[in-house]
Amino acid sequence: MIKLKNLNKSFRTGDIETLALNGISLEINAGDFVAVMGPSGCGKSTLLNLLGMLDTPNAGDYFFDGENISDYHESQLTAIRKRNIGFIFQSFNLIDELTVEENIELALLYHKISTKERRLRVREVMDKVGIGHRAKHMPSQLSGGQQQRVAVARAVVGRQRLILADEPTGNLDSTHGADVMDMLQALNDEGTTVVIVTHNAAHADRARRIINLFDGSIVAENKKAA
Amino acid sequence: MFGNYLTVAIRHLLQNRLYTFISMFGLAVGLAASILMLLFAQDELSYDKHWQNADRIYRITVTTTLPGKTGQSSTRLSGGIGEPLFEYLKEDIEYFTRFDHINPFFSIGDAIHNEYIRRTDKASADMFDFEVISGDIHKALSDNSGIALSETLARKYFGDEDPIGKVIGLTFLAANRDFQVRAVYRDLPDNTVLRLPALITINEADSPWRFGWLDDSFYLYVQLKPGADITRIEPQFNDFIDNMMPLPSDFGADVKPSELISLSAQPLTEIHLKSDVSGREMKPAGNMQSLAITLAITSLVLLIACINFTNLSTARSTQRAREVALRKVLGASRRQLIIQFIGESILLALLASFVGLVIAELVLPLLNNFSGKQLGLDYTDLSAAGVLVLLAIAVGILGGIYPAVVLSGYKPSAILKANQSSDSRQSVTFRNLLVVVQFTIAVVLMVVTVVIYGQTQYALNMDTGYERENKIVVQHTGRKGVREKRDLLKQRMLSLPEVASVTYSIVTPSSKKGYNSDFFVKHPDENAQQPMYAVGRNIIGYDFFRTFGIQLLAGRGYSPQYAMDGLPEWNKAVGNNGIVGSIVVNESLSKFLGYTQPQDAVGEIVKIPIGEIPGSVVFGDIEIIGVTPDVKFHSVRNMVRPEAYIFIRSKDAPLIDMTIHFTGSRKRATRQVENIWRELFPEIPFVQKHLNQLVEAEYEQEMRISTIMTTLAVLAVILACLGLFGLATFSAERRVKEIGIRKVLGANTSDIVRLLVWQFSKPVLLANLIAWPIALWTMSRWLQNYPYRLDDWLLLPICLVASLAALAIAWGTIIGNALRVAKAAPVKALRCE
Repeated sequence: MIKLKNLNKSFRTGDIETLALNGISLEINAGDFVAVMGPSGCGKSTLLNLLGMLDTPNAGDYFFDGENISDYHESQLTAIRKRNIGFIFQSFNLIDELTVEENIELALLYHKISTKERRLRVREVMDKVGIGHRAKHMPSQLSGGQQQRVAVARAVVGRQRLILADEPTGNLDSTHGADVMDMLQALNDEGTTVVIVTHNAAHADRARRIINLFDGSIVAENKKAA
Repeated sequence: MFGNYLTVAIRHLLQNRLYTFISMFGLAVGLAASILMLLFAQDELSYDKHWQNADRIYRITVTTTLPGKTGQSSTRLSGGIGEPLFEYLKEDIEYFTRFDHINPFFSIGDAIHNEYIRRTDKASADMFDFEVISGDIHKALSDNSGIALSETLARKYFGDEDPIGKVIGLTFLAANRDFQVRAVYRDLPDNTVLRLPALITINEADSPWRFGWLDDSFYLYVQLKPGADITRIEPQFNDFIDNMMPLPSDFGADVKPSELISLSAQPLTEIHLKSDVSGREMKPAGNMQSLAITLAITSLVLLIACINFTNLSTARSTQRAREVALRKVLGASRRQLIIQFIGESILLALLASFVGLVIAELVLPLLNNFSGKQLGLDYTDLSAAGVLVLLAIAVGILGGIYPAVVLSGYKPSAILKANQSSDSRQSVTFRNLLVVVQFTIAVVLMVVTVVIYGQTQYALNMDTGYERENKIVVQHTGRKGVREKRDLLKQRMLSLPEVASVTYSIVTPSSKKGYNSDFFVKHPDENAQQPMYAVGRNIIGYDFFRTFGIQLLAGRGYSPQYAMDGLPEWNKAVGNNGIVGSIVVNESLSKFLGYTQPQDAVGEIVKIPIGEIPGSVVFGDIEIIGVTPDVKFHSVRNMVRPEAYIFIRSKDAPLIDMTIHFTGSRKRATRQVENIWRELFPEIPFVQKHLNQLVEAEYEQEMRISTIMTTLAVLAVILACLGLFGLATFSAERRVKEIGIRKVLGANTSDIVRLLVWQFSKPVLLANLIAWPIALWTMSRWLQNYPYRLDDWLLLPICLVASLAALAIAWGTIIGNALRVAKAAPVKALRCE
C-alpha cells in the first residue's frame, strides 16, 4: 500500500536546519498494524504527517498504491487523502463550535454523499464507538475519553483504508487509553491498515510491527508472527 | 497598577499592529471627517451673526400669486415698497435699507472697466457696522455723488494710493456721471449673505422702472426698534398692501391686492441656510437640508468607524481571556478589569483623535479650496478641544464597554482549562450584527450617492428642446452705444465663416434673468374669474429658433419679410382695428388657449394688452403664427408653463444678449467675434460666456453636494471594508485549528475559501435586505422634489448594483486572506495547537 524510499525532511528555523527524517525507507502493506516508537523529537510525528500527506518531503519518493506521489500538488494529495486516510490526534482536534454529530459528519461533507446517507453512516459509527447518546453535545461537555471516541468515529466514518493515529492515548487515563486501543484493534481486524505513534510500550505491543526511530532514522523493526 | 496597565496595553497594541492600525486609522479618519464637517457646519450656521444688530434685522420678501401662476416667492421686490412700508410701520421700524444690483462701466482716467456694484440707502451705514478704513461711509452715502469702495476694489484701482477724493465716472441704467470716493471699508467676512464690492446711493431718476409695484430689483432690509416684536408686525403687512398698493381694475373687481402680493419677514441670520430661492441671492446660498444630510452622513461614517473599533476590540479581547483569568486568580476584581479594558480603549481613541486632527489639518486646504471658505482649526478654542476629547472618550467607552464587561465576566477555571475556545457565541453574533449595521449604512449611502449623481447628470444632460453646443453668449448688447448698431453687429458676425447663425434675446438658458417676468393674455374663458392670465415671456429677436435649433411644431418664426410680425410698441397701436401683430407660443400656452393640436392654434387670434388709456388696459388682436414644443429654456428645476416668445417692433427692445451659433474651434470663433466687437465698440468691454458653462453653473451647488456625498460614501465603504478585513483576518487566525482539521478531513482550498467567504457574506447579504427598503423609500421621496427626474424603477437596478458592489468589495476584502489561510499546509495549522 505504502512504500517510502530514502525520504528526507528538514525544518529550518532561522539559520539552523534540523534534519527531522533522514533516509527513511519503509513499506506498509494493506492490513498492517504498525506502531512507531522513539524518544521525543526523534521524528515520529513528522513521519506520520508525511504518511498522511499533511506535509511534503524534501527528498525521496513516496509511493501510495504504486503511484509516486512525492511531487504531487496539494489538491491531488487532498483528493487521495480524503478517499483513503483517517486521522486521530493526541489532542483530539474536534471543532469546538460543532456538536459531536456535526464533528463526525464533517469528514463526509467533503465527499459526494447524500445527506440521508451521511446521517445513516454517522449514526452507525457513533453507535459503534459508543457515543450515540452524546450526539447533540458539544465537545467541551465531554470527557477526554469520550472526545477521543468522537475523533475515532470521525476517522473511520468515511470508510478509510488507512488510519494514522498520533499518540491517540497520550491525553487519556489508562482505562480510556485501553478502550481506544481496543477500537483500533477491532478496526484492524476488519481489514483497516493502522499506523500509530506512541510512547506506551504496552499499547505498541498490540501492533504487529514496531518501528523504532532515533534522530530521524529507523534503528530497529520488530515483526510479530501473524 | 496604572503602569502595569499601560505596559500591557502598549505591548498588546504593538503586538497586534494590524488590528491597532485598522481600529485607530478608521477612527482617526471618521473623526477627521467629523471635525471637518463640524467646522463646515459651524461656519454655515455663523452667517451674519457678527453684525451688531443682527437679531433686529429682517429681510422683507414677497410672494406674488398672479392668476395663472402658482405663488412665486422672491427675495427681491420693488424699490417703491421700502419707504411707504417704513412710514406705515414707523412705530416698530428703526431703519430700512434697500440694495439693488448694477453693472456699470467704471471710467478712471482713460481706462474703462466693468464692475458689479450695489446701490443702497444711507441707513445701511447705521444698520451694518462696516469697518471703515479711511474716509466716512455716512458721507459717502449722503448724496448721489459719493461712492464707498471695498478694500479689494480700492486696491484694484488705486493700489497703495489713498483713494479718498478720487473721481470715478459711472455709466449704468439711465445714469452717466461722476462719483467721488469718500470711504473705503474692510471687505466683508465670508460668512455673510451680503456681497458689497462698492456702494452708491439709490437715485430713483436713474431707473424709474425699478420702482413699479411688480418690479423685483431690490433686496429690502428693515431694522426693528429695540423691543419690537416681528410676530406682531408681520400680520400688518397685508393691511399695508391693501391700503397702499394701487391695483389695475383688470385683475377683477373683487380681488384684494394682498391676494396677489404678500410680504413676509426673514431674520437676517437665517437667510443663508433658509433661502429657498436659489440664484436670487447676492451669493450662492447654503441649504439647511443639505447641511443636515451631510452632517447625518458624517455621523454615519463615524458610526462605522466606531463599530470597527468595537468589533475589533471585542474580537481581540477573546485572545486575552488567559490574561484575564490569571489576573482574576491573582486577585483582580471585576471592576478593576473593566476599568483596565475601558482605559485601554480610551487610550486608543485619544491616540486616534490626535491622528484625526493631523488628517483634518492635511485635508483642510482641499476642503477650503472646494467650498470657497476660509476654515481653520482654532487650537486656542478650549471648548472645541473639550468637545473633541469628550468625543474620543465617549467613543473609547462605547468601543470598550462590551469587551470589558464580557471579558471581566469570564470564569478563570473555564479559561485556564486547555483546549477551550474563549470566543462565545454571543460575541460572534454581536459582531455580525454590527457588520450588518455597517454594511446597511454603506449600501444605503452608495444608493443615495448614485441617485443624487444620476439625477444631477440627468438634469444636466436631459433633452431641453434647444441645442446647447457651440454657442457663444455675448452680453451688453442692450447698452446704449451697442443697441443702435445691433443690425450692423449681426451683419458683421454673419460675415465670419465660422458663424452659422446669430440672434438677440433678453433671456439665455439658465441665466435666471427674466424667469420671473410675465405678461398677460386675456383668459380664453369669457366668464373666468380673473380676466387676465399671466404667462411666461421671452423677448427674442429674429433667427432665435434657428440659432437655438428649436423646431416649431406648427407655423413659422418671426421674419423681417412680414412688417406686422411681433408686438407693437406700448401704446403705439391703440385705436387700430383688426390684427395689430403676431406671436409665437409654446405648446402649453396653445393648449391653455384651447387648441388641442398645435396647427389649430396657427392663424387664431389672442387678446394681449398693447397699451393703456386712463383707468384701463387696451387689448389688441394678435395672431398666433407659430407653436414651439415646450422647450425647457429657463431651468429644468421647474415645469415648463405656458410661455410666449415675443418679438417687439422697436429698436429699443431689451435684447441684452447676443447668442452666436458657430462651427469649428470655439477659441478661434471667440477671438474673431471679439475682434469685431472691439472694432465696433472700443469703449465697451467684451463679455462672453459659453452656453454650456452657463447651464453647468446652475448645477454647481448640486455637483458640490454630490461630490461631498460621494467622498463620504466612499469613505464609509472603505471603513466598513477595513473593518471586515480586520474581522476576517481575526476569524481566519482564530479558525486556524478548525481549518487544519477540515483540510485533514479532505477539504481543498476552494472549500475553505468558500467557508470563510460565506461566513462574512451572510451579514453583508442581510445588510442588503435591510438597506433596500430604506434606500428605495428615501430616494423615491427625494426624487419627488424634481419635476423632471429619473424614473422610479431605475432605483431597483441601482440598488442591485450597489448590493453587488458591496458584496464584491466585501469578497475582495476577504478572499485574499482566505486564500492565504486555505493554501497553508494543514500540518502548519495543526502545529499551532
